Amino acid sequence: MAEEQLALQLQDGATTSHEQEQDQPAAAPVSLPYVLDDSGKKQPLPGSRSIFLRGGTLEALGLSGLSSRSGQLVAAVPREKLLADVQFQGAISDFHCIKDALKSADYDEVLLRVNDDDIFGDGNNFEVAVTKAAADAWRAADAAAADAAAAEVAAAAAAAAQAAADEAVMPRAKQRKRDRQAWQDLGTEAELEAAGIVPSSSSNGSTAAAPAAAREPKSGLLLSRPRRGFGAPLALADVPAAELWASNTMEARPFKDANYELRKAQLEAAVQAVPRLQEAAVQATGGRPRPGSTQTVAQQLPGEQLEQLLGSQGFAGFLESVVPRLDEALLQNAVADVLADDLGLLADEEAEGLGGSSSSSAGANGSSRAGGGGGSGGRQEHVLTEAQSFTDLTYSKNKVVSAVCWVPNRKGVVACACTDPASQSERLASMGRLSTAYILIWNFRDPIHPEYVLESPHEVFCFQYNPVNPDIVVGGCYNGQLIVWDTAGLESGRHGGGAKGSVAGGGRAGAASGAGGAAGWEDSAGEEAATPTIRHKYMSSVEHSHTSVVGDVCWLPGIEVDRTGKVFPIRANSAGTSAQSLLRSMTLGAAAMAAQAAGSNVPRECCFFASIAPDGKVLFWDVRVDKLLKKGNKRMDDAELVWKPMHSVHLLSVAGNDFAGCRFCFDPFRLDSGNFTAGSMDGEVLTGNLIRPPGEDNPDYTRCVFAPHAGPLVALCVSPFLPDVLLSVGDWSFRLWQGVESKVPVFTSPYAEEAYTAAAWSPSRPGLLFLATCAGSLHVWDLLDRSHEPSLKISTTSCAITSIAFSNALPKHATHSSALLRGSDAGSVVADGAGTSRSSGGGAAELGQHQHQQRHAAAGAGLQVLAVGDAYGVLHLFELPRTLRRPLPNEHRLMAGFVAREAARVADVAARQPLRAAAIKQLEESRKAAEDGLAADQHSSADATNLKDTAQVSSSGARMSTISVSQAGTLAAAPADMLHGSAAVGGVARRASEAGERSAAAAAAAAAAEKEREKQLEQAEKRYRELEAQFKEQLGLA
Amino acid sequence: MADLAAVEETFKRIQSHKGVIGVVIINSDGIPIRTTFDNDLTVQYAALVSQFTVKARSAVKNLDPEDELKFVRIRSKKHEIMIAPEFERQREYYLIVVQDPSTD
Repeated sequence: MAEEQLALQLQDGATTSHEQEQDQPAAAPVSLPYVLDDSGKKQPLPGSRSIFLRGGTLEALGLSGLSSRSGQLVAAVPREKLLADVQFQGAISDFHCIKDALKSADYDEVLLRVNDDDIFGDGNNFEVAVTKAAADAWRAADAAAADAAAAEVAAAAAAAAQAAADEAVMPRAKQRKRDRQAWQDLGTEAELEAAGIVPSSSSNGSTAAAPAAAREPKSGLLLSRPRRGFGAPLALADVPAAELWASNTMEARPFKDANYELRKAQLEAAVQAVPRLQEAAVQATGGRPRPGSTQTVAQQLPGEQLEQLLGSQGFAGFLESVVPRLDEALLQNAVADVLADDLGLLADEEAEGLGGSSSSSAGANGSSRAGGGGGSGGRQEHVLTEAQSFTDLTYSKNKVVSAVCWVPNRKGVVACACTDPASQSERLASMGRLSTAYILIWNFRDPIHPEYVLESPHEVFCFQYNPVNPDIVVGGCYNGQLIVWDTAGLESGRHGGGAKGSVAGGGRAGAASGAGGAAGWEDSAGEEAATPTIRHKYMSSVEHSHTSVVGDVCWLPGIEVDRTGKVFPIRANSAGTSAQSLLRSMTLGAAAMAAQAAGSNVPRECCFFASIAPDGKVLFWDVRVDKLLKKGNKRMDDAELVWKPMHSVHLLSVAGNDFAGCRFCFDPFRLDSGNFTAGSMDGEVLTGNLIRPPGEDNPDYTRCVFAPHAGPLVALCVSPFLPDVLLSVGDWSFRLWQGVESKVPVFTSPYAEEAYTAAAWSPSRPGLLFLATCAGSLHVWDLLDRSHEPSLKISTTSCAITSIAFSNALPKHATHSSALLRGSDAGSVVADGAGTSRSSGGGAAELGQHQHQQRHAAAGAGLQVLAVGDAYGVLHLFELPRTLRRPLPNEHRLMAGFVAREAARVADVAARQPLRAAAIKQLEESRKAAEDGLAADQHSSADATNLKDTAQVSSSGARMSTISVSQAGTLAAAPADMLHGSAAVGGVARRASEAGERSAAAAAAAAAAEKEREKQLEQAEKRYRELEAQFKEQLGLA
Repeated sequence: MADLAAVEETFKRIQSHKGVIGVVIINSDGIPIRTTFDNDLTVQYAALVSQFTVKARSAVKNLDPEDELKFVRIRSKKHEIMIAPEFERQREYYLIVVQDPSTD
């Protein structure tokens, strides 16, 4: 049985014993110290037990040295020792489990064999042979293993020796080893020689071979070929592979070799071809190469011939025929904007709605404070969002923002003037004392601190930035003085590290101060160190200023006013500050840059401004005070210099008193015409001309004055799109005028619930008006949408709004200035925006106007911010939604149409005035006649006898009454402007019917008066018919 | 020579239009008669435009012999070149106006 297992073990073919087997096939089967069970697992030999011995036990038995590595595997331990251990330790003894086997062991000195590899997989580290057979088997196995190891060692040594020997004999490692072979008997030498075949003539043949060859005769072989076969053409052909495969000529067929497998290996490789670059440059002279012999000079006509040609009839005819075509093309270019973004407009179409499609009532969105009721459901597009609000604890808290003005050419910078909210009596009490007031310049970047502050010794109620040179600010004070600041020093001063500016007598009233251009600006110490303060540069003298609060100031770009009251366009080199201001405006003002680029389109000079106050005066000032100073060679004392107005215009009100002017504006297209419009505190509107008629001591500048409003005018401004349309706002309504002289407004708004306090035209939409009320709400009038109520009412603040201004509105009255020169060149006022005159002048004017529209359209495209100053001193900035910003397509034309329609309506009403008066007069007459008839009736009723007559009379009376009633009905349906007439007619008719009834009641009528009466009745009837026909005609017309 | 003044006046008026850069009048041979450009540019315009106009005219004429070229507008990225030719006998000239319509 053991034999079998060992054989099995052989098949297993493991490691060293296997090799041994191969080397020594005759060796006896090796015994192994274990057996394999059916499943191939190793099991202890029968008669041996696998146990686990603890470290302590090993030491006690002296077995610690045993291990498979040291080679000493087996140790013999006396059986009594193990049993004593069992005896001593009892159940915890390592040998307890094999106690019985030990007791029954058939030999002493029990063999213990280490099994530290745990070959049986049962976790034990020792096995004990309890039978002698097992112990013998172990010994045999170990001996065999030792033999095998020794043989192996010997073989290895032999191999090493052999290898060393081989190495020594043949250095080539590849030399094959030849086995020694047994000797084979092939016969004797003689036999060999006889059997061998040796070539007869071998050049290098052996000597032994030669005699053999001599013995044998040579055999010959002749191979011949016919001569004709030489050089015969060869027919070589390729056999198809398939045929060749199957044919006999295929000698080596592919076959599968079982010895090895063809392994297919994959190799991935990548190659990139990089084109080689080569740069080469060749320089050649430009121009088309021409042979030197044919070089030409451009042909020129000789001078006299040219002149003759230019003067010839044919040339004139050519120009005549060609120029109109060219003009048309040029005009088209001017009218159609080549670079206009039509798609941009399209994209906004969907957002439109306020102007065209809004129908839902306002107030849908009341949740946000600044949220206005959107036209279509309060969408985000219609909501005015408050972008920022500015207030300063020192300067503007508990004050009133009396004026707001955006700093031109600077983005996001707005200035507001703050005044005390004192009443008239309080002001009277503090009169004469200096009450320092400030204009705060806020920048979007810093909502806490103003960028800088303009300081004034008196409260400023209006101020304007110079449109050409934005460094110059002019303001109107409460005491009527005019004040000028120059902010040019600010930037340089700031860069200079906050050097303290010299403050040269800044506060002295009545004298121009800060002479020599040293505009005092200082860094006030302490908390306000961050806010630079600029003191005024000049101040007008008290004696020559207004005597009451300055209502409005207005720059007059491009014109000059002299002391004689004449107006002329500014002289190019007359301005003392021209170079300086130009330089500044070039660095600062985009507008001025554009002006330069476009040549003389925009006046480069703006030195004059006008001011108006309720003392009935309009004063004209030149800000070039420097010039006055320089006139005297040495610098005069500040006090001696008196800044006086260049020109003064005195205006009279309706009642003949001083005109209490508070707002005014100039004809924007024709500043040099001198026409202006002014509004007063009494609601009067006045037109006048500032040009002093020559040779009159006390000229009357007033042309026309009347009082359309009930309260003081709060705004008087020309539409930025339709220069002939003027907006006047006072009390609770506003009016649009097209020529104030007619005294009839083109459009009158219904009265609002709250009084208006400020107004502005939208800078980008011709049909849009923004009006602020004393209750803190903004009314947005879209005249193209609805003209009976505001399109939007937006609640902005809780207190009264005092002033509003648009960010990208061009400076006041500078709006149209660029067209000034063109307009005057053309020599005709552009009265009709849609005019299509093709004359050169009209064309030029149109061009100018078109330019404006473009500019405004561009303004509308960008962000629009509305600055709103309120009575609590807070300056709110509202961002306009796109619908209030983007003009509708053709809005300009639509608005012009609206104005034209309204004007036509007014004209129609005016034209019908005499007709209506006549009709009323006639009705009055007829009423009188009817009353006369009634008197006659009553008179004759006393002696009435005839019944027939009575019936006649009553019937005629009834007839008359029916006619009257029917006429009254017709007339009652007349339009509103006919109200007076219809009321009169109604009254007459009623009386007439009463008369009829009474006459019917009168039983007896006078026979003598009958004929006469009938005549009268007939006449009256006829007149009524005529009137009826007239009115019907008019109704039809209307 | 009253005509001469009228010619001058017309010239000035054309030049006063917005964005007009220059005006050239050439005769049918391409010789400049009156110009506001400098000499080089004038010669260039005269040569190139006269060739172009003759080509354009021949195109119109070939399409319909009764037809006549009246006006050519060449809009380029920078400029617009307007050519108003006249082909009648005794007054065969071309009026060339170069405009930059985008200037403000």
